[in-house]
Amino acid sequence: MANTEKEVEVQANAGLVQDLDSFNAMMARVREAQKVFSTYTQEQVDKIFKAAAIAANQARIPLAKMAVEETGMGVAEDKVIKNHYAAEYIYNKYKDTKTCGTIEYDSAFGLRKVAEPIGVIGAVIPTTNPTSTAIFKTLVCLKTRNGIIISPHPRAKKSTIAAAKIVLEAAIKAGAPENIIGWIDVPSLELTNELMRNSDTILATGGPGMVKAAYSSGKPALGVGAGNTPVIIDSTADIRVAVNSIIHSKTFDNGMICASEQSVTVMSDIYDAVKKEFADRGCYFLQGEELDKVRKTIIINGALNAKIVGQKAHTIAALAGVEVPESTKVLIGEVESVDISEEFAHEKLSPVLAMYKAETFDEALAKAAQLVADGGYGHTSSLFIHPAQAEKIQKHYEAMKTCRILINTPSSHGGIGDLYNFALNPSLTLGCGSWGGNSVSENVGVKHLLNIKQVAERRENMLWFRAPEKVYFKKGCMPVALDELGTVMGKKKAFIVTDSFLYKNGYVKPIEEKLDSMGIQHTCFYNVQPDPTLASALEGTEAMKLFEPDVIIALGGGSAMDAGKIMWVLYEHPEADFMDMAMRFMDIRKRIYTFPTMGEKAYFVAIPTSSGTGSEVTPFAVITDEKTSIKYPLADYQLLPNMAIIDADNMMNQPKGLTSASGIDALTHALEAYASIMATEYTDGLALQAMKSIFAYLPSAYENGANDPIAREKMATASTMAGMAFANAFLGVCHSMAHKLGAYHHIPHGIANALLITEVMRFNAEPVPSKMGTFSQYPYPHTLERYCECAHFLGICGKDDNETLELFIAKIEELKERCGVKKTIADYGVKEEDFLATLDEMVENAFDDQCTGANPRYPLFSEIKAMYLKAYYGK
Amino acid sequence: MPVALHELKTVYQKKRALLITDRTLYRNGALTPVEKLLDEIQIQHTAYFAVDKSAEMNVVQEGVKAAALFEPDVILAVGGSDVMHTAKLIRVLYEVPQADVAELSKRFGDIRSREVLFPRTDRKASLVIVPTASGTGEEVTPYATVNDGAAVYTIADYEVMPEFVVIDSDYMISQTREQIAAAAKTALAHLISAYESPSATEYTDGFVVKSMESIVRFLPGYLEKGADDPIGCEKLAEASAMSGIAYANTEMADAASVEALADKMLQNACEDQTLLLRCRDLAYAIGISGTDDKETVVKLIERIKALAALCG
Repeated sequence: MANTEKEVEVQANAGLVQDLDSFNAMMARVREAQKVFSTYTQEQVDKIFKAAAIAANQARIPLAKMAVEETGMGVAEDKVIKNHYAAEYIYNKYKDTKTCGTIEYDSAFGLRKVAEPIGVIGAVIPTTNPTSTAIFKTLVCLKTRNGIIISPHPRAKKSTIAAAKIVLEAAIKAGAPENIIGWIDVPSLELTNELMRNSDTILATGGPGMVKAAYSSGKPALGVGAGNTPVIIDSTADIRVAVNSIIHSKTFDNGMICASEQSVTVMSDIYDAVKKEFADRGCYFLQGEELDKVRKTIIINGALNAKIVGQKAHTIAALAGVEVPESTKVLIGEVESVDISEEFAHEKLSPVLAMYKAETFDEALAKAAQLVADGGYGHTSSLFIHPAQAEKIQKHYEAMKTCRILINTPSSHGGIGDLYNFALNPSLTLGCGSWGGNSVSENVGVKHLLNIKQVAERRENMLWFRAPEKVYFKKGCMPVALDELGTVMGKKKAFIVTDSFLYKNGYVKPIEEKLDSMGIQHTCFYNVQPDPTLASALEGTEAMKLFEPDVIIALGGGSAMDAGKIMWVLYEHPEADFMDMAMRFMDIRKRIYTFPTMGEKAYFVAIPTSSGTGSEVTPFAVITDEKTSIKYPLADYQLLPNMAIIDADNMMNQPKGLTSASGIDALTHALEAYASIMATEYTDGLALQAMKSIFAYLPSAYENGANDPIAREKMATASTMAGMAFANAFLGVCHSMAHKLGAYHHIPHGIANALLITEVMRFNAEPVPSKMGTFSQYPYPHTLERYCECAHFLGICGKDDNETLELFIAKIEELKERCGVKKTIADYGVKEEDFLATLDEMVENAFDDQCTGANPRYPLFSEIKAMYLKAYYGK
Repeated sequence: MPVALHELKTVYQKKRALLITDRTLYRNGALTPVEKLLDEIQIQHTAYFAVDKSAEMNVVQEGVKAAALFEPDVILAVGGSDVMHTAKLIRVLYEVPQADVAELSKRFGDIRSREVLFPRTDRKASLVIVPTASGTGEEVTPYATVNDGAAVYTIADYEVMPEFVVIDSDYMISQTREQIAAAAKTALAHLISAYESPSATEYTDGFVVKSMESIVRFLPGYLEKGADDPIGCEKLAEASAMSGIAYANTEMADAASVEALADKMLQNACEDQTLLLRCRDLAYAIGISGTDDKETVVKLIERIKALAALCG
């Protein structure tokens, strides 16, 4: 005990802080103490916080009396409430708040928040609240492991320092480092500026001058400014509640709270009733000359007269030479102008109030807005109104540029929080936002006195596996699968989409027969072109709108299925905009455009007739605007067919060229899906199995066609599996480049992929790429190993990974050759000058293709160009 | 989990969620993160947590009553296989109160030509499953088994499949060694059954190959290190879901031990050249090879049995 008392004497022994030298010595002591304090645990800190709050609370009455005595302002009994509030409410609010070390940890997202103290806080304490503000600021600094140095107001230094001492003594007793709280004994402008320059953050409370000084010191500041709280009393308000709330608030500590009401604007229809209630409750309405006398007393040369601050109404009246009853609560001036030239329009920090009359609510709002703009930007405004008047309340909060807007509340008590409302943070430092030149717009609390570190652990994106709800396969399965449309789903009208070749050659017939047998009405749209156009999709949609199908059956290659998907979208959502749907995205789950929900009008069935595109199981569709030749690639899982029927009977008579092009296309789907940065175990299995089948059966399917139905069926399955893999893992730069080669030089899509894939594989396999793909799941360049996994699965094994890759590539080249794919782009008749003329444009467009994003190596323009050139010349 | 469940609001616009879990998980706060998230996205929720050690018909019926009162538009199951079975049945009976479970569970030769047609309804509620144990793969299968006194009913129909499944290994990290071992054995049994099944397709084979590879690579380490091996945990979770997908799309096999199933597969492979070659490919994919096909397959079977033995 004796020891502790001795420690408290440290500052006294060290002499008064009154000049630069003694200030610097004190600053050094507080810094040293804070260093030690910063290592304290939450438990230690909470113990200190509690002890300090109890001590301050116990001293609330002597401190209140001392403040009134020293400053000659305010009401001791009210100051007791303020001291009590600063100790008890602040403790209650923050007693369980975590302020040391880890304060939050989200294991799912791997985010940890760690609280660290700021250091030494410079606190400027005003003369209006010399003890309560000191208690508030020292307590929140102790809770946050900060040191604090107080610069008291010269006219209130004794009581401010007394409050600080009480808190310090109790804190040290509870284990805080000595000197954790310091103060300037003999305040001066010089030392206050020195404090602002040397502290780590400034907690300034005071008039506009002080706040400005804090903000210009070059240190971060939490400052508050002057208020000029305007009140509006609406016609619907409860007049008694309104008037008595205002009187209660305005007389609290003789009107020295910065959130206190400064003017009342009353609607004309209740003006007289409000006036009578004010008069009945002891307020004095200034008459005639009295008004001018008080005007000249409260504001002198445009500035608030310090002599009236915190004085009783009677005292202020006497100063002005106006006689009012001793018991007068508030002096009210009925005035008209809200301009700054009207003295009553200013902040008065005393029980003096302006009263305005308004004909309309809008007029009242305009007056209040003007009063805020002239003297109380960002602080507080207030409205008395019936709580059901939601529209007016909204109009009011939209019009007020204040950070606290109080409804039916005495504003002095309401603004500081936790008394007349219980969600505003209790505080004696009220932020005014950028309007008031502040960095904080809410009530200042412990969170503003902490630096929060955010420790973010690496996490991987959520991935998915999505496929059509029903994928039916096996040679001859189509009628069985279609049966469900009638027996299970009870569909009534089917709309078939296909191309004219398939239609003319009777491919639609078995479907129509099956539908007829189930009594499902049907119609067929067969005007789909290769590279389907928007025009033909619109034509089909019109037919659909007339027919109103509840099931759409798309039969054909990629073109018919894509056209079917587009018609489906346009049929279900005629309002949808293509440009929006085709917008490029980085992440399909974060895209700006939300795709409309599909399936409300019709069920979608896809039946492929070639083995390659995989469109029957993918969420993609490409459509060309024939007017501009722009291709719109759409991608969204809403476009996933509901049912896919893979029946090799529909594919038996594919021409050779189609077999080889679509077969190689399927192979590149599998290869790119496997190498994709979004590849998952789910897609890997599908991709590997697809590759294996393609190598084993594509040559025979190509050479023997319908004579090898097994090879046909294996290719059908492989192409659908590869489709499922890339529907979820997406593709890569080979497809990006192939898309442009098709668009600019009309090389069939599968052939374009075939010409590019091996170049792309070498490019991707590079263990030291110029840039790797950006995706949390893709930790380092490992595409060479990935290709080797594929090779091993196919039974290809070299002496090392590089040799395995070369053997694998050779095997792909061999497959291409067996299927009649030529070696180079040039071989397909693209003229050199045409190719070179379009090259740069192709490069840029390929780079920007939707497929590029999933490529494991992020390609540079120059690298894409080099690959194009190699594929053109074959070297 | 949080990312996926956000879709309940953003994509599916759900309003009321019935959460189903078991007592232990509920008491231990397993639902707290889910509930917090649902609050955040303003979906009303209530929890039904009467599931105990097995799926029981009376618990299902109570749950159906709870659902009928609350009228959820999504049923969210968090738990192991008993919770999943219970939730699947609650959803069926909530939507089709007159359905007769005994009738629906009649054995059928072919799921597509059964005589008792499973009731199809306009969906009242989506089913979402968040498994807390890796192994059964129930989250992706069309099966639900329930005890009713002495009787055991197994329902198999794609109607009972959940609409979406969230596999977040954060929910499984505290599994005990016993749970891991049991899960691995279940997954292995599913894989062998699915691979050998006459209904096996290339689609299911792909899942089996990848799943088997993951188990061989990651199970021994995960068994040893448990919660200290979050990667192993995630790999096993994925492998078990993939084994479930494969198993869901073949046919149910009779329950038997991994060892017995493996021996049976070896025996069958010796008689059936096609199966022998397929088993060889599976072995290659895992990195096992021998001097000839037969030896390769024998080695594969040994490896699987060794894994099973490791699980005790």
